[in-house]
Amino acid sequence: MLVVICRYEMLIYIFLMVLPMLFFLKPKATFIVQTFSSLVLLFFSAVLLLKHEYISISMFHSSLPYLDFSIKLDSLSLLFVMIISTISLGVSTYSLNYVYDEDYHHKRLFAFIYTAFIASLLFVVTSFNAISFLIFWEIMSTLSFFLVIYNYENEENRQGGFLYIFMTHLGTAFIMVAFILMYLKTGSFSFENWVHVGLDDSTKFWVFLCVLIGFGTKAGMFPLHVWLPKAHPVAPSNVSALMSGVMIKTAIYMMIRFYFYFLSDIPWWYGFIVLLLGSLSALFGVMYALAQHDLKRLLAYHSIENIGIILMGLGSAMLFNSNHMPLLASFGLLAAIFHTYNHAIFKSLLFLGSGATFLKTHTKDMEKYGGLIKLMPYTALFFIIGSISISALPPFNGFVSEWLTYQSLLLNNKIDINIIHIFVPLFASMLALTGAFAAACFVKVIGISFLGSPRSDGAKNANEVGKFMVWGMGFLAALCVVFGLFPHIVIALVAPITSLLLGVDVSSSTSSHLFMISTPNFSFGHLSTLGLSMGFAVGIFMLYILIKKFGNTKTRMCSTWGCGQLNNDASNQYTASGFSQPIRKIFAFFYHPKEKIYPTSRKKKYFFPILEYKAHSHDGVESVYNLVLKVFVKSSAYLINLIENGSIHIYLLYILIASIAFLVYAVKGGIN
Amino acid sequence: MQTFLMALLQFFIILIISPFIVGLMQKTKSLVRGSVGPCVFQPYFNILKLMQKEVVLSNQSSYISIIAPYIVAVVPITVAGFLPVFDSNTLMSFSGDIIAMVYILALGTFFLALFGFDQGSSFGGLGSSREMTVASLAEPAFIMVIFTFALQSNSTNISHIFDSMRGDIFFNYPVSSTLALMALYFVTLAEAGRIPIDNPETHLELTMIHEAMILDASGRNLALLEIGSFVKTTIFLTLFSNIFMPLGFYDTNTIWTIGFSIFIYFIKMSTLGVIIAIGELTLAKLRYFRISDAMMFGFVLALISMVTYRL
Amino acid sequence: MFSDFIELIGAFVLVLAILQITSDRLYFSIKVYAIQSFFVSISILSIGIYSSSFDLYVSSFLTLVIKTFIIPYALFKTIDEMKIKREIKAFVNITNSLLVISAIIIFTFLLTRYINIGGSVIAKEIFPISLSIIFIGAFIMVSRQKPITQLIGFLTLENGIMLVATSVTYGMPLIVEIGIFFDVIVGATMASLIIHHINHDIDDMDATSLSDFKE
Repeated sequence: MLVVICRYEMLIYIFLMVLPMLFFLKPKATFIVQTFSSLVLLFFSAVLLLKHEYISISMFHSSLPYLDFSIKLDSLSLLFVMIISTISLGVSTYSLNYVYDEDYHHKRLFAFIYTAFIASLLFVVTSFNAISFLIFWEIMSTLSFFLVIYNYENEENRQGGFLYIFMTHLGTAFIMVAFILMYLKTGSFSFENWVHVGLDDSTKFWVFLCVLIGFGTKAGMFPLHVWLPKAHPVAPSNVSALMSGVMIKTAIYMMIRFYFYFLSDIPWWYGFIVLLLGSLSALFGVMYALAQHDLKRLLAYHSIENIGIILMGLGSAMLFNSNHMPLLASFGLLAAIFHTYNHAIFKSLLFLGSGATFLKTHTKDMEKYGGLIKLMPYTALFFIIGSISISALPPFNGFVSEWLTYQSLLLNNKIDINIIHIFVPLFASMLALTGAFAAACFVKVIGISFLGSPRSDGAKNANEVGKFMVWGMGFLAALCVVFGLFPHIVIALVAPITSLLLGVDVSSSTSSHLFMISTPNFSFGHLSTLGLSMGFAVGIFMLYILIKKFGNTKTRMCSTWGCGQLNNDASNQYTASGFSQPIRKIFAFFYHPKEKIYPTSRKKKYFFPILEYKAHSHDGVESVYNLVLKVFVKSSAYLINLIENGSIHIYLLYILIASIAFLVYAVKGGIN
Repeated sequence: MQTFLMALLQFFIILIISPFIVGLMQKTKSLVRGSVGPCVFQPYFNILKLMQKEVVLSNQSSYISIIAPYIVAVVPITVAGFLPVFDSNTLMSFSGDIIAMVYILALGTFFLALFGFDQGSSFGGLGSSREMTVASLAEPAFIMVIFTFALQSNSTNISHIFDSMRGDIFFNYPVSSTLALMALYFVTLAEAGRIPIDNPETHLELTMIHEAMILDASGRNLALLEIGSFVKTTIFLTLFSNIFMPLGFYDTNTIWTIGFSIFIYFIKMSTLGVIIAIGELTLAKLRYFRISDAMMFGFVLALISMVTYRL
Repeated sequence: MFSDFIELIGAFVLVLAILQITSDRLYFSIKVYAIQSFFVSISILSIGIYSSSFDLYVSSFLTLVIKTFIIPYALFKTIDEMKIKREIKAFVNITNSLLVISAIIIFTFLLTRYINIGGSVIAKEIFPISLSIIFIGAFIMVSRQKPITQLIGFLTLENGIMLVATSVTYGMPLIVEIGIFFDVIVGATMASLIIHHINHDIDDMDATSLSDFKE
């Protein structure tokens, strides 16, 4: 029996989520409709969030046991719907040109899967029932798998997709275990019955661990990150933007829901473990990113780093929550969620930019770029804005969320536990090292890809991309600037979440003064990016006036100085591997680099050799995985070979032994 | 109104004194080496001379070469608005704290490195690569030192830290503060680009770190980059002297106390400049791959200072 | 106030012990050791003045003479005679050693947090600092190849023990201290002689090659 209970707002919501899929026969129309539906969803969610109105419906009480779909839009879901809509707005605008310029075959199929993917993302964050959550989670994973291997002709793409689907199912298995544990305790699959449920200590620990591993696999937390650098680069760029920007955040959404909404009275060391894993992810991510010269792989490693930063904020919020300090916990949660939103925006922007360069230069290798700032000015400008944001430099949005994370780490010293006193400043230094390395990495990316002169023919013949792509990227870049200068907007959006989860309104303590954001205790620290920008503007103006009055404003152009030689060759410039070589050498114990110099042409090997230098640093965690899997596969293959060796006599012997064993068991049971 | 005037006065003092400190360092080095050396006010004349020359840019440069020198110059000037010289009222104290200061300085380094790349020569890339590595390695030590201060003064606002250091924090935790001072000295050497990290007078490109990035700059661009470098050095020395040597501050603000405070500040900065210059003379520049060891040593010092404070 | 001064001296000794890890030159190592012993003798002297105990005056004087002048001089002579390469090779490179040392220091401070030092002590904070110095000395002994640096590690360890003994417990009985000094002198002399003979007979200064004697 189908019982459908809903209100009209929910109907509009579901209609908007599903609508773009219906247009797949005309892909252009699909993307346009997706853009508009995202825009409407964005505004609708923002209004609902700010007015503190939550809708919930429960539909499809079907006759199959446990199979209901229920959807609830509470503040956490609404914010994540906003995040998804913002990103899909930018990416769908971009896709209007991208899918046609890349000339993908099966465009209708692509459009259908793409819109279904976004719809499944929206349903994942709004599901309020474990079964429907799992169903939509699986749909999301499978659809993203199809999108990742969209260019299946390439062997590397298929391998990346395979690793991805394997790891994501591993995670799903752990999630199912966590759900089943909760079901055993509460007797129902609906999230409504799971709110603040009291579990005994050992069940709590297993739920915590399964959630951490299961959702950590999806989020790309260290050490479960091995699929991220293989799957994100091979996908089409708009899909990478969606995956890296939004899909891994759904895992964070569920972690927040579990650790703050479902579990209660968690011991402090859970938060400490999350904080530790977050710092390790951040450091590992950025260090591996430094050694890459494939632009999209580099961005994928940066996603690992930023997930680490989000987890650090989350861990510190959990620490405060365990010590019954809800005001400071809300501050930590604000840092984590703000960074989630920021990362979604600038990571999608960077992936879209890399897609634009890939489209025009036909290579993903940074070493073949160069001088693109003059040939693709808009792409370069938006990419630079995205890089400044991801390096957490003022006055853009990355800086605000990283400042909030630092302050929440500093405030941790109010908790009275020794280990926290010692380790949290250590984690803060690791965060500082991460931020500095991220800035170094993006100097490399911008310097080598966009500045200087072109290093290959592909780069020489590049030109600006189509106008919809530029608008898509420009929208996201504008959001970076707006959120950086006016962080109150995001704080106002996060306030209902902290009221729901912790009972405290974070905006009253954090954004109490005009244009300043502060820690809950105002005198501890406050920041105003608007003031900083005005200071910069005044300073630049003063310097300009000074130069106009006392100085010379003429400029002359001539060719680059090459120490006396004619320097027209672009290969005189620095390369990406050369840029990161000092760091690779200093941290050689981490990278285990293998360097090779070998001659490429056999003809002139001894007199005028043309040498090629290859440096390869591989992921240490991957080697551990490979080793474990190798041992496991070898031993299980050996065992299986032993047991099933193909001889029919042995199989008959097995049947005989089994029957005798059953007979003995039955007789024994009869005797007792 | 009075606080605004005081803040403005502090801001201008830092700006005006910065070329003098660098000139003093140069003069000290020359005198100890036995030569007469340039006049102490030479950097002022240098800046004026450079401003009046025209800029030559490479054919491959873009608008980054136009905006980067402005940003590199304006960033330390903005940070100078944060620092208290003799009074806690500063121009920009409402808009940032000490963590913001670290990241604003990082913005300057970012654009300087981009400027190095923009000229399309190999030396720019060399300088950018080395500078970003050294700056990244100096960050953890810096943040650890800052955290120690912030925890001791229970605030991250520079004016509050200044006030509480002036009070009695320094004498309550002498071990921790001394070790933090030594760690901060290492960070100062790294960020200001002095021996043993980087030689500011070198002419050999393979030994340059900061100079290689500005090798192709000329005219007013070079003037702006030099102003940025001078003010950055002064900022670190001011941080060092005002937080660690809390002498020469008075609670009342009459014209005599202000004048006397400015005079004491001047003496402190000159002393620190001379000490750094003498350090430059007696030590040799470290091999590039040893700089990471020196920075790690600074980090360990900062770590011990934090640990002795907490436990 | 006085305990702060003692703690400051102890912190300088710790910094010098860490400084020994950061360089790979033998002369520098020995000089740092000499300055370290000088600070230790100053610390003992000040405690002696504070508590007016004659034993501590004697032991401070002995530390000054023996550890700051005689032993470094003997070590310099040994190096000069042997004409060995003056670089220290290590099993663990400098950056990793510094990381290990910071972990050791954190671990020591956490450990001593749970130990309650009662009674009349001069400076409670010296205990974790000196324990760290002891561990650092042991680490130098473990991770360096040449016997001379192993000897310096042993001497650093000695300094740490001296520091903790005098600051926490007002020094050990004078007989024990003189005995320890004597042991240290004999140990250093014998080590120099043995090193000289090893160099003379085998012509190679690596302690790793000593394990070739196993067969």
